[in-house]
Amino acid sequence: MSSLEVRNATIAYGRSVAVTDISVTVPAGTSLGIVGESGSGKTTIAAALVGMVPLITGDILLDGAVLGATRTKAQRRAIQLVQQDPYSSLNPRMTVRQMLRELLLAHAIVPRSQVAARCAQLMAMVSLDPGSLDAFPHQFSGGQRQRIAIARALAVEPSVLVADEPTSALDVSVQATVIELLARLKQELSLTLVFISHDLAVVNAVCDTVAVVKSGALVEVAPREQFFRAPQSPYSRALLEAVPRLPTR
Amino acid sequence: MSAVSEPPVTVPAPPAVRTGPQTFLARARRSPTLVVGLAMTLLLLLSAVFAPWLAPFDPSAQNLTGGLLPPSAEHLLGTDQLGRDVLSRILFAGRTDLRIAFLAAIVPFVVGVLLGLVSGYFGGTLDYLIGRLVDTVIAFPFYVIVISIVFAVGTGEGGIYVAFALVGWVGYTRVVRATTKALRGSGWVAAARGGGLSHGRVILRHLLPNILPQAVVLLMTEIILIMVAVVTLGYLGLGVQAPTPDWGTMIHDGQAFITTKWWLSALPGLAVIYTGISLSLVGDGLGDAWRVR
Repeated sequence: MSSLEVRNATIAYGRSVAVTDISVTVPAGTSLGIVGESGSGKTTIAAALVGMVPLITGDILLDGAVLGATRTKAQRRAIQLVQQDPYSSLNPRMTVRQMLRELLLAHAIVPRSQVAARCAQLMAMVSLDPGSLDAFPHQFSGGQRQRIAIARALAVEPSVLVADEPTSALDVSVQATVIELLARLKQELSLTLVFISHDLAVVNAVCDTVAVVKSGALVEVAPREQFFRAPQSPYSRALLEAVPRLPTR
Repeated sequence: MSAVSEPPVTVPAPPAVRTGPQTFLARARRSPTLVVGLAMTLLLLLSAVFAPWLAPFDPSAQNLTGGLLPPSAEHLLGTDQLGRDVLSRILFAGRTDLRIAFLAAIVPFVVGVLLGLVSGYFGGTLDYLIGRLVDTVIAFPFYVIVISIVFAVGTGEGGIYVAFALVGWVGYTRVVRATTKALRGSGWVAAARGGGLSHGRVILRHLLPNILPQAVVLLMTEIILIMVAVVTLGYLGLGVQAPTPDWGTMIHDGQAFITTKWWLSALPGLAVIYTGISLSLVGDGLGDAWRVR
């Protein structure tokens, strides 16, 4: 279980600044939901958290220790990303077993003799049949692929899981099962979770704290109940009011 | 709340893993292109490997009283101007030309693929430097640069290997670099790096298997190209030196008798075409079998 802190972070792609001076803290074992419209900088924040994009200014701290521009193997292992698109996040030429096995051995998570058992355990953890460990990604559905991506992230036993819109490419019925899985894993594994989404209902179901991003800047950070009951910023209110509701009969 | 209790919602179990021709071998068996190509190539390789046993005569044995004989029961494809058995020479020439083509293709393949991977993956200055080197080599017409190198290094097999090692890698580097650049941004590459794997491991275990199908298809094309170049060099007198039989030298030697003994040039030419078609089919078929659907 680890705490994560972003301190005055500015992130840019070349000359284009995507995120400006954001600061947010995620206490150990809790979950932060980052919401905002498309292009607001949510995915950029996720990429920076896992070290894929460097910060222009500011710091990212894991358990109070600053993560440098070049992260060590252990630091990269500690924060894992579940990507938005399960169709491009899995190597098409590796079986699930090969993916998991490689990570388990690279970090010496379990002795070589226990790798097979651990692979099966990881599959069971994400409610997939361990019998399909030798299948390739294209043999699975979108929801199943996202579960594999989650299993892969969990294989290295991270303390922080960053889920970047993990359900946006999935059918509504499958979305619910993936959300439920993430919420369960967070509890069971005491993970610190950063959940990025534009779906406020999903954030409400999973997160303890909500951060609202607009045009690359944080406009509000609030506990979940407070955010959904009495949002402080006009933009947050607009976001909540924009949620489509089914007509009541 | 409704007074009538609703039945529990049952979520259907996710479908089992999709079946079908999922492995390379399963797809390979279903590719007629590959099956025919492999059969033709196997025949070619067997004829080359077993040439000493298949050839009815010593390919270098001259019989000056029996020159330029037409095909007969004794000499199935006739004899050349020095009375050497044409069938025996074609079989032995295949042995020479195929050996050179396959061996000369190895170094450019390994170097070209590695440079393309490194260039495409890391980008930046290294990519710029490798790119300019590729542009420089490509700027020279292929045969001009190969002939120049063979002249400089010396004719014969050694010169051919050096020439293709220096020139042949650019094709692989260009293709592999472009493919690697496209794949570098994939989620699975990011996930591999994020999982704590080293650059070397990401390149060799993740990117290489994904670009290898294209590279191997290209390898087949390059082997054909090298074989045709070896034959061309032999034809120009810069390749394999006499008395070792070579299809290019045979085409050249038969040229003087093309109007009366056309088969002396045509038959080694047909052997070159047969080899080209066989390897092309194998390349296409491998591409089909490797493609993940």
